[in-house]
Amino acid sequence: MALVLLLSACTGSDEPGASASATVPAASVTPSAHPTVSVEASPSATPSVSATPAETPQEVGGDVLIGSTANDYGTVDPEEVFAQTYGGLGEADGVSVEHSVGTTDGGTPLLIVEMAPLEGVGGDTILTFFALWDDAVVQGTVTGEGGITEAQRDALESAAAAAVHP
Amino acid sequence: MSARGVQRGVLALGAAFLAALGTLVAAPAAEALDGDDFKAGMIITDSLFFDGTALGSGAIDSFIAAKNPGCAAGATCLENYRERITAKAKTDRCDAIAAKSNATAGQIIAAVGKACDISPKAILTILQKEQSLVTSTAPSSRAFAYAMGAGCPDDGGCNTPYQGLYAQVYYGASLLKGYTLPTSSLYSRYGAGRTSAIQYNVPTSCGTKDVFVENQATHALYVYTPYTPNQAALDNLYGTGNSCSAYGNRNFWRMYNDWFGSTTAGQSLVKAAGSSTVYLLTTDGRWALTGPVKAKELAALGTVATVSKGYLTSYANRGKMPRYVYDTGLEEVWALYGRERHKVGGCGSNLVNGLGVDCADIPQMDHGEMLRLTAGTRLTPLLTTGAGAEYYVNRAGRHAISSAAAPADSGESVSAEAVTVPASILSGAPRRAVMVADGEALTDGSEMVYRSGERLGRVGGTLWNQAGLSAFLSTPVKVASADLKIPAIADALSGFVRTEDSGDTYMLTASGLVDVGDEAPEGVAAAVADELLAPLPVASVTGMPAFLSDVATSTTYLIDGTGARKFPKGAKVHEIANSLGVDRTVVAVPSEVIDDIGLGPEMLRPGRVVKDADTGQRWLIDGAATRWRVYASQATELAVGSIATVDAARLALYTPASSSATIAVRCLGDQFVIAGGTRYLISATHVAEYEPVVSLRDVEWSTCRAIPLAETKGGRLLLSPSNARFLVTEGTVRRLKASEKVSGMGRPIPVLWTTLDGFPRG
Repeated sequence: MALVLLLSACTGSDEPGASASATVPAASVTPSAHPTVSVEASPSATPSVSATPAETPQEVGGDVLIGSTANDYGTVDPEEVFAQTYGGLGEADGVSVEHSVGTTDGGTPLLIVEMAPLEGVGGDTILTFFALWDDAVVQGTVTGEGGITEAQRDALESAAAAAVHP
Repeated sequence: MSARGVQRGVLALGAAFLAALGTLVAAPAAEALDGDDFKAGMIITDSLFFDGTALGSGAIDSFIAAKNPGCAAGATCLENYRERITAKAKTDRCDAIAAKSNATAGQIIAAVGKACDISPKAILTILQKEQSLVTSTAPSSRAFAYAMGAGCPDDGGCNTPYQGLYAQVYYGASLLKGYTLPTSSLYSRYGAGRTSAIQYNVPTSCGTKDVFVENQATHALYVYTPYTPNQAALDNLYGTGNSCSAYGNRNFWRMYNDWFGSTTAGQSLVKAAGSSTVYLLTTDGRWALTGPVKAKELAALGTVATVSKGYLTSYANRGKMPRYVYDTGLEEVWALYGRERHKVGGCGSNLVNGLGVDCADIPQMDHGEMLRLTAGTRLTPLLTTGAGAEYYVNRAGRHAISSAAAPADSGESVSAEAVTVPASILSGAPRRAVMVADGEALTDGSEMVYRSGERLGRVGGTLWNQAGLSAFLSTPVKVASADLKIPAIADALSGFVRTEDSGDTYMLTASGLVDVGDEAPEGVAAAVADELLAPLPVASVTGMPAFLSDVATSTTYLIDGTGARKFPKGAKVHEIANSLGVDRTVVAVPSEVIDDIGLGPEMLRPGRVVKDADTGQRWLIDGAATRWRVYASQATELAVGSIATVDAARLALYTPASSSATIAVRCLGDQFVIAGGTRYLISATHVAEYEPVVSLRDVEWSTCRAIPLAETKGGRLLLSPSNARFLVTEGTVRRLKASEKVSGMGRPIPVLWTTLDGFPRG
């Protein structure tokens, strides 16, 4: 965190140039390989989610955002999926990454990953599940500033267990 | 936020899926970075931090994509972020930025980094340490809003209108750059090059640490985040310290190291990507370490950082790094060699001036940077190169010296130990007159200069060597030709010298001097100080020797009024000396003495018949000074080999005898008849029979010796070309019959008819 504002307020001379934008610009997300979503940032910089048909993300209870995408991992092995995605991350990146594997109520392979900033690193803790079918992945995510609450965790666990083929 | 919360959450999740869960796997630990390596005063080098083009937009986007596990469904992450960025005018901190729609995070970071001279690597690191934005798969809106943490003091919440990725990156970068501008009111806060008390954390009760902030990048980071990690935070580098630990700058340092390599690289030394040329960066530009100073010699200045070409060329190209640098703190010039710094002196000092160092043309280095180099021996005015050349340096330049005593003997006041330096230390020092100690000499191989007392003498190398002066004066110290600047006051010695005070004239020989009095060639004796000749021995004899030998060629010369006359082949000194009645001593002299004397006509070989080129007259050369006229009837008998034609002038040096030559000669008491170029020994009794017609001529032994001696003795019998025998009796000849037996008359001497015809028939 920076002390900038405090110091700048004292001097004024270190404020950025007059052309600096004081408003949050519009942001858009280009469709990527995984989620098929469209997000627009609100004036408060909070991206909003437009719920669309089945494969588009939906917000369920406990702030869990669920969406689906094609399985581009080439595997339904949760460990392999983890290795492909989070495998390279760790302390050197300022994050702690832990994962567990299991199955949904329906027996679908399940990967759950919790990525949290290390001490002193800002940002959000993110808990994510991946339910893995050969042709699809259902992904649920919950983001918590300062950590995941029990309610968020319960919500995500429930969503994971209940995940079905999209 | 706390890592402990993460652990609890995963364990709880594991319990919910206990039947189906496999093993819990921790992410691999990063290669250990040691907290002891953290230097509070130098978090990152300027060259790394302010390299605004360290990464291009594509490389930045690729880096983000590689670091991000994959943006969560429905989330906005850095890797899929797009923003229409607005144009920004040039400010005192940042250059202008053009508007762009649909800009990626990489394009935003690259544009701001380039405009504000803040490294995109540093920006990425800040985005991660502030909001985990690089790795986050589902960042919150707050994470983007305060992406750089700019306007988010640690002792309070965020409160800034500059929200969103572009706004935050620009705001943060412009702040970081702005702190480095002297016009900034925060320029002196934790200012570079000074020690500041920096708090460990927000509560003042946690105390402060005195930190010497070494550079602008560290200064900027401390203004941006005004806390320095305490030991607890460093001891647990990837974890929690204690209640007084603050982590911002620790995490920046740690994360940058883990992502992009050492933050200490390029503190002074950098190279452009794709190039092997290392440069020293100073406030006055970049200096290529491709000259006398190589990068390895400055290894103590830290690791070489690879920077963008744009960053490198933002420094003025000052050419090749010289051996000298200027310590801006001490205001002194230092020499760099042997991986050490060596004090030279102030810009106005004699030594600095004498070495040809212009303080405006050498790197200006911060004192703190200088301190990273080990201090070596201070330079003195006495400098020795590795090759052994010795110099004395005064304000005028460098003087090659014969020894450390030379400056004092030359009137300079110096008391210092000689210091050995690379030759390049002296490359800029103007070459000045050599200095020679009393009794010593210097040479470049072709010329010598020596001192005797208060005076200097200069001698050509050949003369020096041929006169063997090293034995009497000193073995000269060898110096480079360019260094042998001989003072104009030095007296030049030649083959003949005349002392200024006493007026004596000497000839240099291989064994000292010979006082030649007034016999020296006119106009060749060089006037020299008496004391210059004092060390040389003087021969007991005086006057010009009759014979000189060139030590270089071993050629012997007869010295007379015509010059140095080369001895004829086969001639012997004692014979010539006897012939001339002079001392037979031959004095070996340098070639220059012969040159000074000048060559006279070559001596003619005794015993030879020659023809005067002008008159056609034939003459028998007798010894070194006499010639006998040879008439045609005897010429063939007397000539040994062909008759050479010689200049009249050469012949004129031989005094004509009062009579003409005959075929009968006497030398050293023996009598000979010469016929067909051969000398026949005959008895006095026999020769008496010839004398009524053939007068016996007394000649030099050298003349006789030069005429081949017949194996058999002759006598009174002469043999005609038709093998007819003639008996000489009282000046007449009588032909003997073939059957006529004679005895006691000696072996017949073959002669020509003309010789026989010279005798009356008996």
